[in-house]
Order: sequence, then structure tokens, then C-alpha cells
Amino acid sequence: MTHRNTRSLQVSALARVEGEGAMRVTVDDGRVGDVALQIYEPPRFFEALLRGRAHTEPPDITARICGICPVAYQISACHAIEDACGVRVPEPVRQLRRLLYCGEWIESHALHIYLLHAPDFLGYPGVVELARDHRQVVERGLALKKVGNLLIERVGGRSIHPVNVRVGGFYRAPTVATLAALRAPLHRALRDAIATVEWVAGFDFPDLTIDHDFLALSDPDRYAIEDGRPRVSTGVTFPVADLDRHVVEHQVPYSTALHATLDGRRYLTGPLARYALNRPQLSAPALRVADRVGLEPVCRNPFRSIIVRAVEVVHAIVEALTILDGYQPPDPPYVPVPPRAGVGYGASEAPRGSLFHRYTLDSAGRITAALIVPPTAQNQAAIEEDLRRLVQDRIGEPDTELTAACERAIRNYDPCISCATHFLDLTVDRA
Amino acid sequence: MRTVVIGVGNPYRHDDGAGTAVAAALRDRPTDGVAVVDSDGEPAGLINAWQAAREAIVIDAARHARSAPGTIHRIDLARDRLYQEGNASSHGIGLGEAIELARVLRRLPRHLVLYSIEPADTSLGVGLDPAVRRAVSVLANRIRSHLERA
Repeated sequence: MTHRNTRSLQVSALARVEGEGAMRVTVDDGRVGDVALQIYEPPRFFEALLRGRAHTEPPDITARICGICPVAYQISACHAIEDACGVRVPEPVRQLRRLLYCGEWIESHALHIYLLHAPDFLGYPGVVELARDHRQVVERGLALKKVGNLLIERVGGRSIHPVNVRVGGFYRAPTVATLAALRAPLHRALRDAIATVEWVAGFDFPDLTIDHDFLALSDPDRYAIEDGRPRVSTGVTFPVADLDRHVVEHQVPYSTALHATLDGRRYLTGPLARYALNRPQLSAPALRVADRVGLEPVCRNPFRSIIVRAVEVVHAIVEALTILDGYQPPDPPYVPVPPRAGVGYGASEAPRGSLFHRYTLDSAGRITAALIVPPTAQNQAAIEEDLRRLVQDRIGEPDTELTAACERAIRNYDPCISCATHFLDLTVDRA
Repeated sequence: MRTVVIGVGNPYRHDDGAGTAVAAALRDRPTDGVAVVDSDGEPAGLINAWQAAREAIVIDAARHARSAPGTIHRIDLARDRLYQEGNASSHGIGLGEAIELARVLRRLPRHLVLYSIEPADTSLGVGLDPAVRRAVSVLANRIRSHLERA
């Protein structure tokens, strides 16, 4: 993702920090006025990097520009390029993409739940302090994450920036034996994942109810992960190719980031949206544990999103095991994607929410324009609204406590690590 | 595995790719018993990369106060703490926190050396600043000599 470039050894040494968030809250006469948040700038510069490149390159380039969820970038890019070239990949390739994607859901969610989010609920400044008191718990989180990474490694060739993904499919299909070796670690991970749901469901959650519209991809046959059709909680559904008609990004005066609206309204994408729209399609073990811990069918408290994430980890593991059961290496592992002039759209459900790509190609397959709409950009207006409510509810609290509460509210949405670091610089203007 | 060399960074953000450039230079002429890996700096991945090694050498681009681009810093973890308890950051987890977490989980290698190269430009794009490029080559040679002596 694109971030402002500030790094400092004093704050969080050598971190992958290119994002410095600033938040400004104006309080006038006990009422919250403006809330301006900047955690992240949508990657406008992608165009410059991608323009003139071959149509085969976006999966690798975009995955590296944003190392946070490379699989999401690769798959959304593949879909968009394949759409532009009029190619539809066969089902076995889709299955393998889904398996790869399950790995990313597992590792990304496990990282967020254990290393970034849980310390908030347990009163620790960070995971290091949490680990001092609860070493086994943190070990469990790391073990879960490792299984996700292992899955990405076996399907994608390596765990950071998988190298096996290409437009049309995969360079090489993993052998049956390679994937069969994942079965035992996945079964162990399933137990850990169920324990994770039970653990996080026992946290104390601040009250906050959101009324944002939800947007998530939906698939008639399954809980949408790597593919699907955009669906909104208002009942509207549309093909990805109509994205520009529904999702509009506009500049806001106080920030270089853009705000996205959906049919003119504020909306939210990510685990809460997916769960609200697609819950009935969760696997039986995921539904069972969700019911057992009393997770409501539509969860509108963003603090409780940690439970939804944990349920999604259970689902991703079950899904991966199901795919392994019937796995036969796709032959050939990819279909040709001959270039042609046109525009293509692609979408998938990144752990943080829907990720849209759009590419324009010339007849030689060179990219003439690229647009990427990442989940964090789409969620920005919703996050600001949450902050507005939060500050309004706690208007009497000192700035330090308000800042901490605001940071927690932002972490509910799992902005990527780079954006979540080094922030927040909170200014409360009390006129 | 005797030693692991970990290049941290993002080559698509110009000089932030200094760490991975050093790793690439070392990969060109491999040394026995030494694994060279790239990392995006994600802590669990770092811990996994170094936990089985006796020695880890980590290279990253980082800004220091009053340093010219291309300046190489060697950070000795016995002396310099990178992580301050309850520092003002949220939980963005950086290398400092990854090291501290590994310490708590007893997964630190016996020796961990950290080199940082001062970047000039970490905006989006490829290619290194000339001073950073020189530093990459100097540091790669220095690390290679160390590995060959070990």
C-alpha cells in the first residue's frame, strides 16, 4: 500500500513504516465537528509503475508494492487481466487459487487477532507484553499463522510474494503428495482456530453499533473468498464490471486519501460485511462455533469483528481441507491468456475486505491505465464515522484516553501493518 | 543452518529495497551453511526465519538522526534496545518488537546482528540512490568476508 514516507528509529525501529496516521477531531461546544483521518493513501502511483508494462506483469508487481496481502493482489489482478482478455479459467485452477487464498486468510487473520488486536482487549500495550504473561497463547497464534504461511508456500512457491501465480493459473501445479502433507498441520490448526474463537469471544467489548451499508462479494455456491459478485446489504447486487457506476472515489479537502461511496452512501467492506451477507454459507464447524459463543447473525459492533475474523479462520481451514480432499493437479496448470485491447475488472475478498482492480490494455497487451481500489480506502469514511461516535460518547475523557480509544477503533478494521504503525497523532481542538 | 542472512525491505519503494539488494548480492555467490532470505519485515516471518539459526544477520533500510544517505549502521542488540516498552506507537510491529517478542518466546538466535542503511528516498518506484547503491555493495562485501571467515 502507499503510505506517507516517514520512518524513525526512535519510535518503532526499522519497522515497515511508511504510514503515519494523523487524526484531527474538532470539538465545538461539546459536539464533535470534523473528524479527519489519514491512515493511508490509495495507491494512485500504481498507474505510473504499471503503465507500459505487459499484461502478464500486474500479479507480481502489485503483490510486491503491497506486501501485506500479496495473494489478494495477485488474484484480483489475474481476474482483471483475464476479464480484459476474455478468458475464464477452469474450475480446478479456481480451486487452487481458493486454496492459496485460504492460506492468506489464515495467516493474515491470525496475525491480526493475536499480534495486533487481542492486546487491546486484555490491557497490554502490545504483543510483547502479552507474550510475557501468556506465552502459550501467543505461541498458539504463531502456530496458526505458520500453517497459513505453509499453505501459501506449498501452493504459491514461497510464503512472501508467492512466485507461482500467473495470469491464467499457475506456473506449476503442486503434486498430490505436496498438498497431502498439509493435512495433519491443518487438522491441528483447526483445533487451535476453534480455541481462538472461544478465547476472543470471552473478551469485554466496548459498545458501539454501526449503521454502514455492507459490501462483500457473494457466490451462489460458497462463502466468497477468491471470487464472487459484489453484493450490498441494501439488496443491490451488480457485476464487477459495473464497479465504476456504484463505487465512486472522491477527494476530501483535508487529506490526500480518497473517500469511496457506494451508490452515494458510506459503506463498509471486510469480515463484518462478509459475515453479514454470506453467513449461511460458512462451513458447519465455523457455524457451530459461532453459534456456541453467541455471535449474532449480523454483527454491527466493530469491536466484535475479532470474533468474526476467528470464525473466518475456522472456515478457511475447513475449506482448505475440503479442497485437499478432492485435489488433482490441474492439467495444464494454466490456460493461455492472449492479449487484446479492452478494459477488465477483477475482485476478490482480501482479509481486510473487497479488493478491486481495473486494467486497460492496448492490442499488444500493454497496460495503458490501472486502477486499484483497496479495502482500507473503501473503509475510511466508515472508520471516521466510528471515531466521530466514539469521541462524542466520551467527550469528557482526557485526550490520552480518547487517543487510545480511537486507535483501538481503527484497529478493528485491520488496516495493514504499515498503516497501523506509528500512529496516531491525535489533536482535539476544544473550541 | 549455521547462519541466516535476512534482507528486509521493499524494492518497489526505492531505497527501502536496500536490505533485499544486499541479500540478492549475497545470493549471487552463496556460502556453505548460510541461508539468505528476503522478508517484508513481518514479525512472525522474521522469527521463523531466524529461530533455527545460530547467527542471524538482518539488513534493513532505516532512518537515523543526522545520517547521510548510504550511511551504514551496525546495531548491537546487547547494547542498543530497539524496543521501548509501551512506546507511543500503536502496535505496528517493527523489527524492534519482533526481536523483543522472539526474546520473550525464547526464539532468538545466539547472535543477532543488525545492519541498517540510511535511505535517501522511500517513495514508490524502483532503483536505488547512488550512495545507497554503494553502501549495498560495501555491506555485501563486509558480510561476505565475515561469512567466509566463520
